[in-house]
Amino acid sequence: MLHLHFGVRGGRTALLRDTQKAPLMVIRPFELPCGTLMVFLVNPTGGVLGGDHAEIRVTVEAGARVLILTQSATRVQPSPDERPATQDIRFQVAAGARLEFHPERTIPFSGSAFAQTLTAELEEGAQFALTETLASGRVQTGERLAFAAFESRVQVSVAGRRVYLDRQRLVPGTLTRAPGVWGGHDYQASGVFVGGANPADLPATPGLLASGLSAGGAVWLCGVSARGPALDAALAAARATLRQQMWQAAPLTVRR
Amino acid sequence: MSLLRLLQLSDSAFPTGAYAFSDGLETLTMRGEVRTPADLTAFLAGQLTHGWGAQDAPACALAWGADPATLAELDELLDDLKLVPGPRAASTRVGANLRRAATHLWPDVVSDLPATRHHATTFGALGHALGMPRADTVTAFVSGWLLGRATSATRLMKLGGLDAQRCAAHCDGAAQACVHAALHATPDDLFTFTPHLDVAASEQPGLDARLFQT
Repeated sequence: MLHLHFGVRGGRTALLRDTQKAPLMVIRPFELPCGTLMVFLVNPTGGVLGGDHAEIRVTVEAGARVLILTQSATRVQPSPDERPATQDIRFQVAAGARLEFHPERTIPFSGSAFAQTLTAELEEGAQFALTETLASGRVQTGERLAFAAFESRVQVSVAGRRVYLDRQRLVPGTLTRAPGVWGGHDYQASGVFVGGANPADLPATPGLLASGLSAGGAVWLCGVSARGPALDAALAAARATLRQQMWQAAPLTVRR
Repeated sequence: MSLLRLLQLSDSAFPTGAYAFSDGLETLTMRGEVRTPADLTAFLAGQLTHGWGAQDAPACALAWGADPATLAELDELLDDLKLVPGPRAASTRVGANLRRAATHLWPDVVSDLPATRHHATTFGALGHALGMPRADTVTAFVSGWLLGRATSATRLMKLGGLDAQRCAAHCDGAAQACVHAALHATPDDLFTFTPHLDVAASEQPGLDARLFQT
């Protein structure tokens, strides 16, 4: 369980309250040159196990600027009793606040099952960004599509109105490699940006990454690639251009 | 009588304009990623299992006999789940055309039909209003999509009509599984996983020469 509450004190974003229960914890936040407060989520164990449930709650008060990253990939360990590892993430972002969440890749190991729900409730005038990537498995070792199930529900609302909804469910089977599904790729990306101006130039990398406007007016991102670094680079470029166009914000400079 | 109506409603000649949309298949064929009959069969079966069939088919099943509030919620759900603008707009255009054509043929029935916007919800609601059984309605809806896409492929690939129909026939198992899942689905069960097609469908408006609107 991890609960984080951010606000502004003395003109700077600060982590005002936190509740941390192993294995989820945060490394001491530090401020980026742009004033955004960056926090690394850490899970020092070998990953998430079947039957594990993680609960993350983040509240961002008006005026605060928060970037949440994860220290390493989410490794979803095998689930011998077929119970999925579950993760429930809820964000509340006040008007005039900004929250960005860009976790490292989710890697479902052979025999694993994972179900994630992410809900972001924004006040009018809040800014929010999320990007995530999924691997087909431990690709470097030749393990691909050996997991049991992956499920993700992401919903973003502004002033109670749903602006983005993405539901993914993948139970690998004979058709997962079909053209149109995952094809010959091993990496997938998705994401959403909300708040600020509509971008005049939606980012795209042919055959790799696309973006567009949802029915509710959010900017979505979607990508596929045979190689993870190529997808990561396209996603990073898309984040930079969307931050600039929508929020007039410079690219984030993060040293790991 | 209801069977005749069902066959008419799901016939590719029924003037819904669905023939104008490929929803990304055109991009995949242009790139050579769907090139052979085997590729097409895999594409169709993949979409029945992980894509269109996991979203629109259950929406059709849920719309059958649904009250106006449920239909409105289903339409909103489809609005949001269809992230790529082209296929989202195509779904509502075909839905509107379907209602218009049905109004022309069966004005008494359609006049009492609750409001619907997407193709799936309109087809499901119409099926119920015309007295078609729920399972038959969903089967016809799935068959219409499958044969429509197979026919589209003949315009995009070096593929004859007979070969295209064989591809569709090879998808029997996937189509039956799709219908079965749709008939047991709740609104919470509308999920997809089609990143490859989503990227392709987004790029379709930028193709140098297009045969389809999406």
